[in-house]
Amino acid sequence: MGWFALGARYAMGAPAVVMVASHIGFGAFAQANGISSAAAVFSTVAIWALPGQFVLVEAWVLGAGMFAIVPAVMFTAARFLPMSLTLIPLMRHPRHGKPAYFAAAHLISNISWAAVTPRCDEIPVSERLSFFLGFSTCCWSIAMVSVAAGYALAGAIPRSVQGALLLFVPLTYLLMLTGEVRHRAGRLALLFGALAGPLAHLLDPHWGMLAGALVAGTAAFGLDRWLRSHG
Amino acid sequence: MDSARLWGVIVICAVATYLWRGLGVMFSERIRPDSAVFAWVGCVAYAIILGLTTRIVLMPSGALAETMLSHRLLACAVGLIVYFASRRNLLLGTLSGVSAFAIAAQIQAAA
Repeated sequence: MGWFALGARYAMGAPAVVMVASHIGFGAFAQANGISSAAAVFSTVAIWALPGQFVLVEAWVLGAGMFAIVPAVMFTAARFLPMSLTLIPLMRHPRHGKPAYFAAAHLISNISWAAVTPRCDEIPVSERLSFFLGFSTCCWSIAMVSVAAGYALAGAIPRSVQGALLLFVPLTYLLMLTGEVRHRAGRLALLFGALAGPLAHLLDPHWGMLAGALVAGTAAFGLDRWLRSHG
Repeated sequence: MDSARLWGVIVICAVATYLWRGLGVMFSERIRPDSAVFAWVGCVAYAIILGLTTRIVLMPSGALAETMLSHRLLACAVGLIVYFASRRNLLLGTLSGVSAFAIAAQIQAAA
Protein backbone atom coordinates (compact mmCIF):
# COMPACT_ATOMS: atom_id res chain seq x y z
CA MET A 1 0.00 0.00 0.00
CA GLY A 2 1.35 3.45 -0.93
CA TRP A 3 1.73 6.22 1.63
CA PHE A 4 -1.17 8.23 0.21
CA ALA A 5 -3.43 5.22 0.79
CA LEU A 6 -1.95 4.64 4.25
CA GLY A 7 -2.77 8.24 5.13
CA ALA A 8 -6.32 7.80 3.85
CA ARG A 9 -6.65 4.58 5.82
CA TYR A 10 -5.48 6.32 8.99
CA ALA A 11 -8.21 8.92 8.40
CA MET A 12 -10.89 6.25 8.06
CA GLY A 13 -11.19 5.66 11.81
CA ALA A 14 -11.67 8.16 14.61
CA PRO A 15 -10.73 11.15 12.39
CA ALA A 16 -13.57 10.26 9.99
CA VAL A 17 -15.99 9.97 12.91
CA VAL A 18 -15.03 13.38 14.25
CA MET A 19 -15.30 14.89 10.73
CA VAL A 20 -18.81 13.48 10.29
CA ALA A 21 -19.93 14.54 13.78
CA SER A 22 -18.66 18.09 13.62
CA HIS A 23 -19.63 18.81 10.01
CA ILE A 24 -23.14 17.42 10.42
CA GLY A 25 -23.37 20.00 13.19
CA PHE A 26 -22.20 22.75 10.86
CA GLY A 27 -24.62 21.72 8.11
CA ALA A 28 -27.52 21.78 10.56
CA PHE A 29 -26.36 25.16 11.85
CA ALA A 30 -26.22 26.60 8.33
CA GLN A 31 -29.71 25.30 7.57
CA ALA A 32 -31.11 26.80 10.77
CA ASN A 33 -29.61 30.14 9.79
CA GLY A 34 -30.98 30.23 6.25
CA ILE A 35 -27.70 29.77 4.37
CA SER A 36 -28.00 27.63 1.23
CA SER A 37 -26.64 24.10 1.26
CA ALA A 38 -24.32 24.90 -1.64
CA ALA A 39 -22.82 27.91 0.16
CA ALA A 40 -22.32 25.84 3.33
CA VAL A 41 -20.49 23.08 1.44
CA PHE A 42 -18.51 25.67 -0.50
CA SER A 43 -17.30 27.22 2.75
CA THR A 44 -15.90 23.81 3.76
CA VAL A 45 -14.14 23.48 0.41
CA ALA A 46 -12.72 26.99 0.38
CA ILE A 47 -12.16 27.91 4.03
CA TRP A 48 -11.65 24.43 5.58
CA ALA A 49 -11.59 25.74 9.14
CA LEU A 50 -14.75 25.00 11.10
CA PRO A 51 -14.50 27.66 13.86
CA GLY A 52 -14.12 30.35 11.19
CA GLN A 53 -17.07 28.97 9.23
CA PHE A 54 -19.30 29.09 12.32
CA VAL A 55 -18.23 32.70 12.90
CA LEU A 56 -18.94 33.56 9.26
CA VAL A 57 -22.48 32.16 9.30
CA GLU A 58 -23.25 33.73 12.67
CA ALA A 59 -22.01 37.16 11.61
CA TRP A 60 -23.64 36.98 8.16
CA VAL A 61 -27.05 36.21 9.66
CA LEU A 62 -26.70 39.13 12.06
CA GLY A 63 -26.21 41.31 9.02
CA ALA A 64 -22.58 42.13 9.73
CA GLY A 65 -20.65 43.75 6.91
CA MET A 66 -17.60 42.45 5.13
CA PHE A 67 -15.30 44.60 7.27
CA ALA A 68 -16.61 42.99 10.45
CA ILE A 69 -16.80 39.39 9.16
CA VAL A 70 -13.43 39.02 7.48
CA PRO A 71 -11.23 40.11 10.44
CA ALA A 72 -13.29 37.94 12.82
CA VAL A 73 -12.81 34.86 10.62
CA MET A 74 -9.16 35.68 10.00
CA PHE A 75 -8.60 35.98 13.72
CA THR A 76 -9.90 32.46 14.42
CA ALA A 77 -7.48 31.11 11.79
CA ALA A 78 -4.29 32.52 13.35
CA ARG A 79 -3.52 29.06 14.77
CA PHE A 80 -2.65 27.90 11.24
CA LEU A 81 0.54 29.95 11.24
CA PRO A 82 2.34 27.89 13.92
CA MET A 83 0.78 24.70 12.54
CA SER A 84 1.95 25.27 8.98
CA LEU A 85 5.30 26.55 10.24
CA THR A 86 5.96 23.28 12.04
CA LEU A 87 4.34 20.72 9.76
CA ILE A 88 5.64 21.88 6.36
CA PRO A 89 9.37 21.56 7.27
CA LEU A 90 8.77 17.96 8.36
CA MET A 91 7.39 17.17 4.89
CA ARG A 92 10.10 18.92 2.86
CA HIS A 93 11.98 16.70 0.43
CA PRO A 94 13.90 17.57 -2.79
CA ARG A 95 11.50 15.51 -4.87
CA HIS A 96 8.58 17.87 -4.15
CA GLY A 97 8.24 21.20 -5.94
CA LYS A 98 7.52 24.44 -4.13
CA PRO A 99 3.86 24.64 -5.31
CA ALA A 100 3.19 21.29 -3.63
CA TYR A 101 3.78 22.84 -0.20
CA PHE A 102 1.52 25.79 -0.92
CA ALA A 103 -1.22 23.44 -2.11
CA ALA A 104 -0.78 21.15 0.90
CA ALA A 105 -0.97 24.16 3.24
CA HIS A 106 -4.64 24.68 2.36
CA LEU A 107 -5.38 21.25 3.82
CA ILE A 108 -3.72 21.98 7.17
CA SER A 109 -6.43 21.90 9.81
CA ASN A 110 -6.64 20.97 13.48
CA ILE A 111 -7.28 17.32 12.63
CA SER A 112 -4.58 16.91 9.99
CA TRP A 113 -1.99 18.74 12.07
CA ALA A 114 -2.78 16.84 15.27
CA ALA A 115 -2.89 13.49 13.48
CA VAL A 116 0.10 13.80 11.16
CA THR A 117 2.67 15.87 13.13
CA PRO A 118 3.32 13.31 15.92
CA ARG A 119 3.40 10.48 13.34
CA CYS A 120 6.09 11.98 11.13
CA ASP A 121 8.88 10.15 12.97
CA GLU A 122 7.49 6.84 11.74
CA ILE A 123 7.21 7.92 8.09
CA PRO A 124 10.13 8.23 5.61
CA VAL A 125 10.78 11.94 4.90
CA SER A 126 10.09 11.56 1.17
CA GLU A 127 6.67 10.00 1.88
CA ARG A 128 5.33 12.33 4.56
CA LEU A 129 3.67 14.67 2.07
CA SER A 130 1.86 11.74 0.42
CA PHE A 131 0.68 10.46 3.79
CA PHE A 132 -0.51 13.95 4.74
CA LEU A 133 -2.35 14.42 1.43
CA GLY A 134 -4.02 11.02 1.70
CA PHE A 135 -5.12 11.76 5.23
CA SER A 136 -6.28 15.31 4.56
CA THR A 137 -8.14 14.80 1.28
CA CYS A 138 -9.98 11.92 2.92
CA CYS A 139 -11.05 14.10 5.88
CA TRP A 140 -11.89 16.99 3.55
CA SER A 141 -14.15 14.87 1.30
CA ILE A 142 -15.92 13.30 4.26
CA ALA A 143 -16.47 16.78 5.69
CA MET A 144 -18.07 18.07 2.46
CA VAL A 145 -20.52 15.18 2.31
CA SER A 146 -21.26 15.55 6.03
CA VAL A 147 -22.13 19.25 5.71
CA ALA A 148 -24.65 18.40 2.98
CA ALA A 149 -26.01 15.52 5.08
CA GLY A 150 -26.29 17.66 8.19
CA TYR A 151 -28.10 20.29 6.15
CA ALA A 152 -30.59 17.73 4.85
CA LEU A 153 -31.09 16.12 8.27
CA ALA A 154 -31.38 19.40 10.20
CA GLY A 155 -34.41 19.38 12.43
CA ALA A 156 -34.42 15.59 12.57
CA ILE A 157 -31.46 15.55 14.97
CA PRO A 158 -32.51 16.07 18.61
CA ARG A 159 -30.62 18.69 20.59
CA SER A 160 -29.20 16.05 22.96
CA VAL A 161 -27.76 14.06 20.06
CA GLN A 162 -26.22 17.25 18.65
CA GLY A 163 -24.51 17.74 22.01
CA ALA A 164 -23.15 14.18 22.00
CA LEU A 165 -21.89 14.61 18.42
CA LEU A 166 -20.05 17.77 19.39
CA LEU A 167 -18.34 15.89 22.21
CA PHE A 168 -16.38 13.85 19.66
CA VAL A 169 -14.34 16.96 18.88
CA PRO A 170 -12.58 17.53 22.25
CA LEU A 171 -12.40 13.78 22.96
CA THR A 172 -10.56 13.03 19.73
CA TYR A 173 -7.91 15.70 20.34
CA LEU A 174 -7.54 14.79 24.00
CA LEU A 175 -6.85 11.12 23.27
CA MET A 176 -4.91 11.59 20.05
CA LEU A 177 -2.48 14.09 21.52
CA THR A 178 -1.96 12.53 24.95
CA GLY A 179 -1.35 9.20 23.24
CA GLU A 180 0.79 10.23 20.29
CA VAL A 181 2.98 13.02 21.65
CA ARG A 182 5.91 11.34 23.39
CA HIS A 183 8.65 13.96 23.69
CA ARG A 184 8.91 15.92 26.94
CA ALA A 185 8.58 19.43 25.49
CA GLY A 186 5.39 18.41 23.65
CA ARG A 187 3.90 16.78 26.73
CA LEU A 188 4.63 19.83 28.87
CA ALA A 189 3.05 22.04 26.17
CA LEU A 190 -0.10 19.87 26.22
CA LEU A 191 -0.30 20.06 30.02
CA PHE A 192 0.29 23.81 30.23
CA GLY A 193 -1.96 24.45 27.25
CA ALA A 194 -4.78 22.44 28.81
CA LEU A 195 -4.60 24.62 31.92
CA ALA A 196 -4.05 27.91 30.09
CA GLY A 197 -6.85 27.49 27.53
CA PRO A 198 -9.86 27.82 29.86
CA LEU A 199 -8.13 30.38 32.12
CA ALA A 200 -7.18 32.61 29.22
CA HIS A 201 -10.66 32.27 27.75
CA LEU A 202 -12.11 33.61 31.02
CA LEU A 203 -9.81 36.62 30.86
CA ASP A 204 -10.52 37.42 27.22
CA PRO A 205 -12.62 35.27 24.87
CA HIS A 206 -10.98 36.78 21.77
CA TRP A 207 -7.25 37.17 22.31
CA GLY A 208 -7.05 34.99 25.42
CA MET A 209 -6.81 31.74 23.50
CA LEU A 210 -3.74 32.77 21.52
CA ALA A 211 -2.06 34.70 24.31
CA GLY A 212 -2.59 31.81 26.74
CA ALA A 213 -1.15 29.30 24.28
CA LEU A 214 1.82 31.56 23.63
CA VAL A 215 2.55 31.74 27.36
CA ALA A 216 1.92 28.00 27.91
CA GLY A 217 3.97 26.92 24.89
CA THR A 218 6.85 29.21 25.82
CA ALA A 219 6.81 27.98 29.43
CA ALA A 220 6.87 24.35 28.23
CA PHE A 221 9.70 25.06 25.84
CA GLY A 222 11.67 26.93 28.52
CA LEU A 223 11.14 24.25 31.18
CA ASP A 224 12.20 21.52 28.76
CA ARG A 225 15.41 23.42 27.92
CA TRP A 226 16.07 24.06 31.60
CA LEU A 227 15.55 20.38 32.50
CA ARG A 228 17.86 19.43 29.66
CA SER A 229 20.71 21.52 31.00
CA HIS A 230 20.08 20.75 34.67
CA GLY A 231 18.64 17.24 34.54
CA MET B 1 -31.06 36.03 1.53
CA ASP B 2 -28.44 33.92 -0.11
CA SER B 3 -26.85 36.20 -2.61
CA ALA B 4 -23.74 36.59 -4.66
CA ARG B 5 -22.55 38.76 -1.79
CA LEU B 6 -22.44 35.77 0.60
CA TRP B 7 -20.36 33.78 -1.88
CA GLY B 8 -18.07 36.78 -2.19
CA VAL B 9 -17.67 36.96 1.59
CA ILE B 10 -16.86 33.22 1.69
CA VAL B 11 -14.16 33.65 -0.97
CA ILE B 12 -12.58 36.59 0.88
CA CYS B 13 -12.70 34.70 4.19
CA ALA B 14 -11.07 31.74 2.45
CA VAL B 15 -8.23 33.97 1.25
CA ALA B 16 -7.87 35.50 4.73
CA THR B 17 -7.71 32.02 6.29
CA TYR B 18 -5.24 30.72 3.71
CA LEU B 19 -2.98 33.71 4.35
CA TRP B 20 -1.87 32.19 7.69
CA ARG B 21 -1.22 28.81 6.11
CA GLY B 22 0.68 30.34 3.20
CA LEU B 23 2.73 32.58 5.49
CA GLY B 24 3.65 29.47 7.46
CA VAL B 25 4.99 27.85 4.28
CA MET B 26 6.99 30.98 3.40
CA PHE B 27 8.55 31.37 6.85
CA SER B 28 9.16 27.64 7.16
CA GLU B 29 11.76 27.80 4.41
CA ARG B 30 14.07 29.38 6.92
CA ILE B 31 13.35 27.00 9.80
CA ARG B 32 15.17 23.72 10.28
CA PRO B 33 13.23 20.98 12.09
CA ASP B 34 16.11 20.53 14.53
CA SER B 35 16.25 24.20 15.54
CA ALA B 36 15.11 25.77 18.81
CA VAL B 37 12.61 28.07 17.05
CA PHE B 38 10.96 25.03 15.50
CA ALA B 39 10.64 23.32 18.89
CA TRP B 40 9.22 26.48 20.44
CA VAL B 41 6.58 27.06 17.72
CA GLY B 42 5.63 23.38 18.00
CA CYS B 43 5.05 23.82 21.74
CA VAL B 44 2.80 26.82 21.07
CA ALA B 45 0.79 24.83 18.51
CA TYR B 46 0.30 21.91 20.93
CA ALA B 47 -0.78 24.37 23.62
CA ILE B 48 -3.32 25.95 21.23
CA ILE B 49 -5.00 22.65 20.38
CA LEU B 50 -5.18 21.25 23.90
CA GLY B 51 -6.21 24.65 25.29
CA LEU B 52 -9.06 24.73 22.78
CA THR B 53 -9.94 21.15 23.77
CA THR B 54 -10.20 21.77 27.51
CA ARG B 55 -12.05 25.03 26.85
CA ILE B 56 -14.71 23.13 24.86
CA VAL B 57 -15.09 20.56 27.67
CA LEU B 58 -15.20 23.08 30.54
CA MET B 59 -16.88 26.06 28.83
CA PRO B 60 -18.74 24.81 25.77
CA SER B 61 -21.06 26.77 23.51
CA GLY B 62 -24.04 25.66 21.39
CA ALA B 63 -25.76 22.31 22.00
CA LEU B 64 -22.90 21.06 24.17
CA ALA B 65 -23.52 23.92 26.63
CA GLU B 66 -26.87 22.32 27.48
CA THR B 67 -25.15 19.18 28.82
CA MET B 68 -23.73 18.63 32.30
CA LEU B 69 -20.09 19.26 33.13
CA SER B 70 -19.88 16.05 35.19
CA HIS B 71 -21.07 14.03 32.16
CA ARG B 72 -18.51 15.66 29.90
CA LEU B 73 -15.73 14.97 32.39
CA LEU B 74 -16.93 11.37 32.73
CA ALA B 75 -16.68 11.03 28.94
CA CYS B 76 -13.07 12.28 29.01
CA ALA B 77 -12.13 9.91 31.86
CA VAL B 78 -13.75 6.85 30.25
CA GLY B 79 -12.33 7.78 26.86
CA LEU B 80 -8.78 8.09 28.22
CA ILE B 81 -9.00 4.84 30.22
CA VAL B 82 -10.36 2.78 27.31
CA TYR B 83 -7.91 4.40 24.88
CA PHE B 84 -4.83 3.51 26.93
CA ALA B 85 -6.20 0.13 28.04
CA SER B 86 -6.81 -0.80 24.38
CA ARG B 87 -3.23 0.10 23.48
CA ARG B 88 -4.27 3.46 22.02
CA ASN B 89 -7.24 2.50 19.89
CA LEU B 90 -8.54 6.00 19.08
CA LEU B 91 -11.89 4.95 17.65
CA LEU B 92 -12.66 2.65 20.59
CA GLY B 93 -11.62 5.37 23.03
CA THR B 94 -13.76 8.16 21.56
CA LEU B 95 -16.78 5.90 21.05
CA SER B 96 -16.54 4.65 24.66
CA GLY B 97 -16.29 8.21 25.96
CA VAL B 98 -19.32 9.42 24.01
CA SER B 99 -21.27 6.25 24.99
CA ALA B 100 -20.53 6.85 28.69
CA PHE B 101 -21.73 10.42 28.21
CA ALA B 102 -24.95 9.30 26.51
CA ILE B 103 -25.70 6.68 29.18
CA ALA B 104 -25.10 9.19 31.99
CA ALA B 105 -27.39 11.70 30.25
CA GLN B 106 -30.11 9.04 29.85
CA ILE B 107 -29.92 8.05 33.53
CA GLN B 108 -30.07 11.71 34.50
CA ALA B 109 -33.11 12.31 32.29
CA ALA B 110 -34.91 9.25 33.69
CA ALA B 111 -34.24 10.14 37.33
